[in-house]
Amino acid sequence: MVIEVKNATKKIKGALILDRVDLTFESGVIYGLQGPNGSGKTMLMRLVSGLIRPTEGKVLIDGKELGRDFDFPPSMGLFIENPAFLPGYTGKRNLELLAELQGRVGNEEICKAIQDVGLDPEDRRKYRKYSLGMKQRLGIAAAIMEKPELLLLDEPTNALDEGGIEEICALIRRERDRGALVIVSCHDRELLENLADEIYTVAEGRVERRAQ
Amino acid sequence: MKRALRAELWKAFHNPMLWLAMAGGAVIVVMSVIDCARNMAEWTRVTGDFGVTAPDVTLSTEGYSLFILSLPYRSTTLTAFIFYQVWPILAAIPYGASYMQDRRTGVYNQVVSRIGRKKYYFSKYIAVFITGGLVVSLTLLTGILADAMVVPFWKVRLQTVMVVRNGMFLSKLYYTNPWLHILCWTVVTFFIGGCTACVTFFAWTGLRLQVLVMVMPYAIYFVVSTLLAQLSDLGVISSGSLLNKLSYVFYMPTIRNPHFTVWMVFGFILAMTAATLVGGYLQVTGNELD
Repeated sequence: MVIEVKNATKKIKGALILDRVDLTFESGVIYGLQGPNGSGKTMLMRLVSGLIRPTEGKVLIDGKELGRDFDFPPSMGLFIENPAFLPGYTGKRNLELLAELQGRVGNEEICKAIQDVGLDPEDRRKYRKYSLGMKQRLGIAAAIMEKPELLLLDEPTNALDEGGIEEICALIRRERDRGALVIVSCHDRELLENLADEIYTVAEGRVERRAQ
Repeated sequence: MKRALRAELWKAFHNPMLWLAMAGGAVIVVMSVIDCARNMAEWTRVTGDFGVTAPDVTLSTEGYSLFILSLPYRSTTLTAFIFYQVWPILAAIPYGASYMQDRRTGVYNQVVSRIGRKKYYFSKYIAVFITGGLVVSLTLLTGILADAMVVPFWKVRLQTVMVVRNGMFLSKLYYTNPWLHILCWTVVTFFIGGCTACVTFFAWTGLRLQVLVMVMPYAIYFVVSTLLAQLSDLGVISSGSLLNKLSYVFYMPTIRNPHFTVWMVFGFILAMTAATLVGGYLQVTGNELD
């Protein structure tokens, strides 16, 4: 998979959020987006995911234009902003509901994804009873369970302890090794330097590649 | 679409708000039975056995019948008043706020990124429509069935009772086959409740309070009814006009509403369904392009 962001600008209510961004992402690589709050990292992720459309410019996925040829990338795992689940159901039931939408994976893959992020598939607690770290882990499980070709992770290590961060980093590397294109945004420069193959700095809507 | 719809319906029918709305409907049903029982007791006290015996063809008046006294036919009792006040809210409670909730929690992103916006929207619309329609129509249907425990269900012979008059919705059927009439009206009420629940799609996505979304159909009907009634009183709109008839939109599910003929009822359902479908679609997809 090749994603090309071409001269993409995003304005919301007159405010410039992304400013003429030109980027190319390829499969089998972990890309890191680093920058302060409000710099445009999440908006860039939302742009690549198809959740928003650029005001100017375009996003191409394998040569096809996002928003014109298709609404969303055909195989994508998404973890943007906060973990998003129905509070009245268990973690596993939440993943089952999401998986049923496409029917690509069954019980086995769902359980494996839950175990991969360090949770228990048999946990009967409702999602609302989960701790912040558990919610974070379940969000990542939802993103990886369908073995997507494109994996977008926005601040995936928030609310995780040191051991948890290591586990999630190892998981992200495994996804890269499987051939997925992974884009990770993070405040923590050191963490990103350890994890990402290429790092881009986002500041005031401009994106620049950092030498490594 | 099938998978999306199945998942959406599963969520809708496992949503506690649906059962809360059903419980609200059940309270109205119980109140209706108490109303009917009190009316029957009063009627038999005044008229002796007459109130509970079969109508005598030689008499110019009739005893009480389920098809006169029950919830869908009355508008003067406290129960009927409450029902006609709250039915738009009852319709919106079960699943009306789910789209807003999805947006607020981020579940929306998870779902649309898997199935696309169109499938998401249509499956959500159908789920909101079905649950909204179900609660309102079930309240009416169980209301009349429960009332049948305390009121005899004689056919109404005389139009003098003025419950359903000539020209009103399915009036012929009312006098020939009242049970079928009730069944037809239940189906109609299902559609009215359904399209009313879908008014919630018009809600502004920035709205934080779920309860405001649920009250929205009520507020819209109330404002429209009041405004048109005022304009009618002031003589700005003529008494026979469509706009004047629409001022009774608040009392839509009552069988004895003389302002809603067959074409008005079906026209209303079609217009509301089309408006909510298109309006909701623009709202759901338009928000992505901000």
